[in-house]
Amino acid sequence: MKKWIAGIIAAAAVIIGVGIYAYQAQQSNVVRIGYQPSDHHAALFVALAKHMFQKEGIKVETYEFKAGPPETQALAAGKIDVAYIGCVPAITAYCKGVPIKIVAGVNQGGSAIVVRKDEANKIKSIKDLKGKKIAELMKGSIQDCIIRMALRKYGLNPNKDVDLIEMSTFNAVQALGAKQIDAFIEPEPGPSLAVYKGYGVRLMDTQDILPNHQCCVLVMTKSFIRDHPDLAKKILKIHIEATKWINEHPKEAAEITAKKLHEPVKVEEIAMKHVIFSYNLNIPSMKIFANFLLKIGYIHHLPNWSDFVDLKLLKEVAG
Amino acid sequence: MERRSLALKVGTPVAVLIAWEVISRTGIISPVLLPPPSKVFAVFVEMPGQIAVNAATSLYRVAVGYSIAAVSGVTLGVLMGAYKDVETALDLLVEIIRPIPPIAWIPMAIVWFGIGDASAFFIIFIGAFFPILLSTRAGVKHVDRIYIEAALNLGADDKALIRHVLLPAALPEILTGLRTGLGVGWMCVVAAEMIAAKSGLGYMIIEAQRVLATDQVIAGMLTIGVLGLLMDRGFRALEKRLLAWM
Repeated sequence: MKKWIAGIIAAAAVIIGVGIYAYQAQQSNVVRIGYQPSDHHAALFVALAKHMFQKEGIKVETYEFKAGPPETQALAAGKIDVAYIGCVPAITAYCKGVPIKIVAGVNQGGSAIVVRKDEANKIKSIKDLKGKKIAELMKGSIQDCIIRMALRKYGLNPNKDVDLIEMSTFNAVQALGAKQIDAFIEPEPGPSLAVYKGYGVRLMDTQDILPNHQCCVLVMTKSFIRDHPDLAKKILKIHIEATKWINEHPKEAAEITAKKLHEPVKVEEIAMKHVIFSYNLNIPSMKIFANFLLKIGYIHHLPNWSDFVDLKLLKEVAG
Repeated sequence: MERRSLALKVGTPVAVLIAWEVISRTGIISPVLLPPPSKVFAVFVEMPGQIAVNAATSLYRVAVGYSIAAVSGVTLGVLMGAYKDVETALDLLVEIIRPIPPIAWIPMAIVWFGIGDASAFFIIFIGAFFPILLSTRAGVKHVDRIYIEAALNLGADDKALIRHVLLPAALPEILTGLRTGLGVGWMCVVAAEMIAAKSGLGYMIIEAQRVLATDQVIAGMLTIGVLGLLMDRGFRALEKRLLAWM
């Protein structure tokens, strides 16, 4: 019997501990922002480089993630408040019950399928990818969703007719150069870098598969918006300002992303041209993605769009 | 007493399940982070085929990797236990390689064997081999000198000595090693599949995690746990039968 009591006390201690930990995390005034090492999140890099958060008096901590899925786990666990993240993992997370809202767009397009240079004359279309080894950022990412859509459109089964393997962007570029893979689908600057290094040839931009498709979005946890509406507005204001700045100063923006991602400025100047930076959302394209995710079983129901996408703040801030 | 122990045995898991369901349903812990058991069990109803196929794949990999480990581990263990020279020659090598966790071999396994069955076989082999080797060696070394001397006096050669004296006398320890090895091999298959394969229960868990299907993750974990338990129980029953003569 004593062991039972000890067990219950131990369990209670763990639950209380977790509760206190979560509570403390909520109380802090530091905004924790998740992002990925990609040009898509240039607005954040610009905001940091231009000290925009400091000027608004906001303290931020940034957390880098390899891809969207681990970022959704951090959102679910309450480890970050704000995320620059692909709309596909955001939709998946929302539908699985992670309490988040999309408050603005980050970018549209901006990923590409690149094939190995010595295979380029054989792979001229999506259907020629049959039997090939293709690296993708991660299962559940927007690139994963788009390549599956494209393969299916050409009658190929993504699970059987091709060998899809997970690889982070810069590893995929190296693997293409080392001929360990035949093709990849990755966000910029991966495609531009592979072309610049002479490793590969652009087969198709994701823009060509679904024009102006929504890619990354700015996501905030519901508790962050509820508990810190002023901070949420300021973060959004900075995001809008930084996005405008990128479009007005493409050259300097390329310098900032080059520094952040440790890439040549020349590569970044090309890469950034393949990304549309906009804080507006292409909602119809997100609905196409959601329907596809439902079809392939990543989600079991569609999101409640009016709850999930909240443009109230954006209207207030951007006017 | 019987009834009391049964109540305790079944009662604790049931109490845990109820508490888990309540914690998850009431949202004390978000259902994404901890899906309720009812949702986890629903996974078995919704996708029994997928779970069965992945479980069969994992079992097949263990069967192959473990068989190689069992044959080579027992053989080398007997040789090391029986011949001082073999032991002296191999001891340092074994002691250096043994503490390397099987998981640490995964990157090299991928380089050598690529993503797929062969890598998994190798990782399972590494995991299962050492417990089998060490138990067999210890078992053979612990055989009473009296048996050995008696056999030698009766004119047994090395082969007969190993076959009719050392192996039967060391059998309990060899079987313990084989059972431990099976358990380690089963853990290794899951670890190997998470990184170095594109099928099996380990891969199923990682795939589900990518899309936050935590109910499927836990269903996969439970499948691994139950299969591991069945294997262990099955092996113990086999041990009892094989050692019935002792």
